[in-house]
Amino acid sequence: MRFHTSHTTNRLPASLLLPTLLLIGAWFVTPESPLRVVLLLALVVTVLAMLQQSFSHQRWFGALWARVATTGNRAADDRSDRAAVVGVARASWLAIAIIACVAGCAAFVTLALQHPVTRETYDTTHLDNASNLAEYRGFYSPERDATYGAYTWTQNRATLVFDFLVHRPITLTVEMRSAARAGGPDAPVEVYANGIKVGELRPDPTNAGFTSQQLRFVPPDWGGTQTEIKLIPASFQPKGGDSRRLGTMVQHITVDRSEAWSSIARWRWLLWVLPVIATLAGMLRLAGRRGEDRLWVTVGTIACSLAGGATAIALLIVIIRVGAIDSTTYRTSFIATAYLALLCISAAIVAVVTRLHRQFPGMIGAIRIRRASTATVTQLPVAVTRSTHRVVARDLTLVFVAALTIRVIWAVLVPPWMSPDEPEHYLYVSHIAEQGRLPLKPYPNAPSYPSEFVQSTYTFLTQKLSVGFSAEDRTLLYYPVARDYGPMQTFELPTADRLTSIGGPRAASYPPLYYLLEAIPYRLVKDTPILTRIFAVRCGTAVLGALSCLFGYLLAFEVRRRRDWGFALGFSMALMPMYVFDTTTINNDAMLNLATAAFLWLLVRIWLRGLSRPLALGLGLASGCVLLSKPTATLLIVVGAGIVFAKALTEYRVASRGSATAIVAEEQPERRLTRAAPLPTLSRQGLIVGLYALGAVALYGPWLLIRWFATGNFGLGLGTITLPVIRWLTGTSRVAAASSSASPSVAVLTHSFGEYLRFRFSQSSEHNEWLFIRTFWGYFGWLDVLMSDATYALIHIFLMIGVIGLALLLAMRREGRGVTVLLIALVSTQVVFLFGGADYFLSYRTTGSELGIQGRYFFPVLAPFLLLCLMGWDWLCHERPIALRLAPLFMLIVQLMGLAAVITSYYGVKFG
Amino acid sequence: MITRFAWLIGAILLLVILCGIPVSVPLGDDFTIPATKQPQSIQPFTPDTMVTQQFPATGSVIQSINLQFGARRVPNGGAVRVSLAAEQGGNWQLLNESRILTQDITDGRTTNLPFTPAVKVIPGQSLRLTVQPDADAATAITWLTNPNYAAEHFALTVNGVPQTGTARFGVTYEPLHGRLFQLIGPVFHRVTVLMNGFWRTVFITAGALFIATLLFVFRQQPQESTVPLAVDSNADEAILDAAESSDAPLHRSGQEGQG
Repeated sequence: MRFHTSHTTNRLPASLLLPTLLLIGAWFVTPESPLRVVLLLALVVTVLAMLQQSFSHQRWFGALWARVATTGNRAADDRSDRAAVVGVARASWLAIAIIACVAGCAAFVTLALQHPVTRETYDTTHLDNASNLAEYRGFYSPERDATYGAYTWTQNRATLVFDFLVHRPITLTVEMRSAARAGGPDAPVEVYANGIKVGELRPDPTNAGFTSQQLRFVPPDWGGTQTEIKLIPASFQPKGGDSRRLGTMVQHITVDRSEAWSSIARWRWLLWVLPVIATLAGMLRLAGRRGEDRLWVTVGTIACSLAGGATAIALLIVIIRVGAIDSTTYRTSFIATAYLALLCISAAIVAVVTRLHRQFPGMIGAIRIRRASTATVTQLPVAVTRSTHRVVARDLTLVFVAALTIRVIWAVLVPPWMSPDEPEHYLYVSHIAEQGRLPLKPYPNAPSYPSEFVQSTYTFLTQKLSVGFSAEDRTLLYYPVARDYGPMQTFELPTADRLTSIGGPRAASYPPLYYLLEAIPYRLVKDTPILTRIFAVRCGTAVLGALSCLFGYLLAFEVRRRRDWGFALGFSMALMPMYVFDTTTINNDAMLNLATAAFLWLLVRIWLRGLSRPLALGLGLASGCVLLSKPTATLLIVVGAGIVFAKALTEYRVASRGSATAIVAEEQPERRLTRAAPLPTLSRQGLIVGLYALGAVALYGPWLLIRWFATGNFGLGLGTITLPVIRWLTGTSRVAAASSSASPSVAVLTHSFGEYLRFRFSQSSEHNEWLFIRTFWGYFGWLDVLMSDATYALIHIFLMIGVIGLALLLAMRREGRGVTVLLIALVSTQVVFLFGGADYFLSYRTTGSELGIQGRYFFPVLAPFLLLCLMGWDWLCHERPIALRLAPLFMLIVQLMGLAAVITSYYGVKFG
Repeated sequence: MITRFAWLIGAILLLVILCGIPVSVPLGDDFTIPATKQPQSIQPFTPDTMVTQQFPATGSVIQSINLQFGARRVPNGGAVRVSLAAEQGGNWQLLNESRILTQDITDGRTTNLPFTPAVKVIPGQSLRLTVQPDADAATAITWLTNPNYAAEHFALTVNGVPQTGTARFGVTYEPLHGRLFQLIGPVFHRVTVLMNGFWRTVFITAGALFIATLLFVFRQQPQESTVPLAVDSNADEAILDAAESSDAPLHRSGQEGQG
């Protein structure tokens, strides 16, 4: 059977790798809190368990165990293979238990040796390198008194931020001198801790020296692990031309946390109980091994473990109640104690499970058998059925309906003109539908922007609701509540006010395929208000977007030969919020994405199945459609053409070799070959390539001719593309290029590709996150409507795990690597084209600034990109169907978040 | 049976959860006067300076207002008096008077002033916000303005003298709170303000179809995705037949994808 899917090659401890990665992701996106520590502990546990799994897969470990097990036990040679496997598994558990115990000992030693400094004195003249002091402000430069040494004046408030936050009393001692000694007021200095007044300090105004003022208080809990102490004296302006506003004079500040630490010290004996309990448990286990397996031994072991766990938890509670003595001590002791508690409780659980296993061996065995049978079902050989076409057609219908309906919802929810360049694309469509011609020379005598459009922007409050549409600031938070929306719904002007000269100046240079198609829905509702026309064109765009999802389904089905793969990718594309937004609002991206999705599906099909005439013609037509839509995926077409030619040549060469082999085979009947398919001959391969070229030229050729007749050039951009080639061939340096002898067009070469790369790699992580995550997954409107940060965090985790899974898949599995590499190459091609071709070549090379690439420009390769992510997830899930089922669910959640963001932004309805 | 419908039950549960999420629907037009690259402030801002900012009410219950102050130095003490009045028959009727302690003011940050209980106004009514510092506050803070912002029925005066621009402030009206299933009507009405009857019908139909499709897919998925299928086009079958009747390897990379 050819289309057999098996996961027997997946040797990963995958069941644990995925939770580990999820925990890492969650740990990264969770802010500093106890939950983070819990996540860290869970991470430790999964890593330990993963190590155990890895050990049991390692041959060296099995060999080592076999040697250890057979030492002193000659009967071991007679063990069956199964017993040996069980022995290795047990040994791996033993190894992991030893590792866990060693880590427990380390945790214990850390706790036992921990003695934080609880009393610290800060010299106000040397605060820069003070320990445990995170921040300070409000002190003037140090001054020196001949009698009493160095001191510092405070400003009208002095702030010190310490790296501790305890919930027990601390003592603050300030060595200070009254401001009255320098002509200031004799007023107390207020002390605020974490924003709340905790007392006052009043130095003796008659004492010329510095006196210690003490204050004992409990710092108010304001979250985190820091304490802010503010000294607020009554400030005054000194005489003698000193323009400073002075507070009080301070020499030393002492913070004493001994009282807080004493609470922990009082309960420290609990720590020493742990080794006692551990020793007792160990002795019980030994007794159990030597003697008979008695119930009291097991109960005793469990009781000891639970007692150890309870002790550690009690210690943990004390630590939490006292708070952060200092951030390092607190974190270390919290993690170490929590680990010891977890270790003891895990030991108790293991003891219970082991006992149950001995007592009721059938129970756990049944669970294992059930798991094994589930695995067998997923490995069923693939059946080739006649009904597949019908079933796939039904799947495609479902994907299409879901994709179309969600797009229609977006089409009517997103207010008019609230998408990048939507007015420009609309005017192109309107130009074709209203004036019956393409926006080519000679241009009719009409304004660039017709009055209907201009007036509609005011009617729809577009300027007031968007940031990017005009230079004005967004002044409305959402569409006003107290407003009559009747005029908006019915706004239209006569045909004379809809005419344009070039139909959207910024879109006029684009090829016309999308606009010609969208002119159809426009014509159907031509005599209706402009809002209806916009919505109709958007619905037309939505159809194109929904169709592109079908090719996503087909691509996944082609690669993996499973319907659930098709569903997963089709629905992921159908629901991805930014893709929905991009293929709903009026924009030629929708046609480009559709054509590219079809092109990629056909290309992968050719890669997997070989060339045939229908496939070559279809690929040619798809290439033509891509070129007729938008030039931002041109390199994909070039790569596709290269693959077609290479494939044709390879097939011909292989066939030639096959003929030679057939001659040899006649002499050696046992190696005789028979082939049902016709042999690829040079003429057959030439015909196929010809059909491919014919398909592309038949669609794109007429447009080139039209452009040539209308503008005098083909509009291929060859003039600019040839410049660096000329420079490279002629060796023209930048200096020479700038000289008068060089042609003017060559002289514009100012920035090298190396400079561009340096610029690109020097971009901040925030910029890269904006480009690759936010504008790719959900940044709506005129790039001014964001989803919640939690949504982007989810996306980060999804991508991170997908990429890691993909890397492991590539590294560890040979089957299907070719097509995976092809998909990666296609995605990379688009990335290279956008950065190298568009961003550098069209902008940075001459201007030194970037073009303004957005995430949506990568959508032509969305299908392979998501498929690669799914492959990574699938690999980490041990190729069980859970990843494929969760992917659409994940996308549905992100979709709802995107929808909520749009509704909140434009209509003021808030969710959650 | 439970396993078979687990995904469907899960999907329905998800829908139920979605219907239960808290929602708020605006009943007035919240606004905040936007920032500008060249902000200005009321100068001088002394105890005898009375700054008034008029604006029209666009809702019926004001929940809070926020003001943006500038702090030249860290304020030591004092407060700013903020009063809200409404015009009724040519007279200004005081609705609320509050004090903001200067220690609660951060330079350039929004200072929120919630009204408890909320202040009732009439939509379209002219409202007046008056801000006046006391002696201590005057040395430290000022009220920021946006000199470029101008809107209908907005007027800024200092001691009765009209000023250019608008003071930086915002108003939050009390929204309608509840669960989605309780407020489905107001939410629908709000998000379809731009749609006429036809587009509302399209919107509802699309939503219903979308939910139905998802439910259908969730019901179908588990039983079918466990059994992998393959294409059975004639071409494929010919290839398969050829492959099975032959002991020669197919010189195609097609097998690569089948893992």
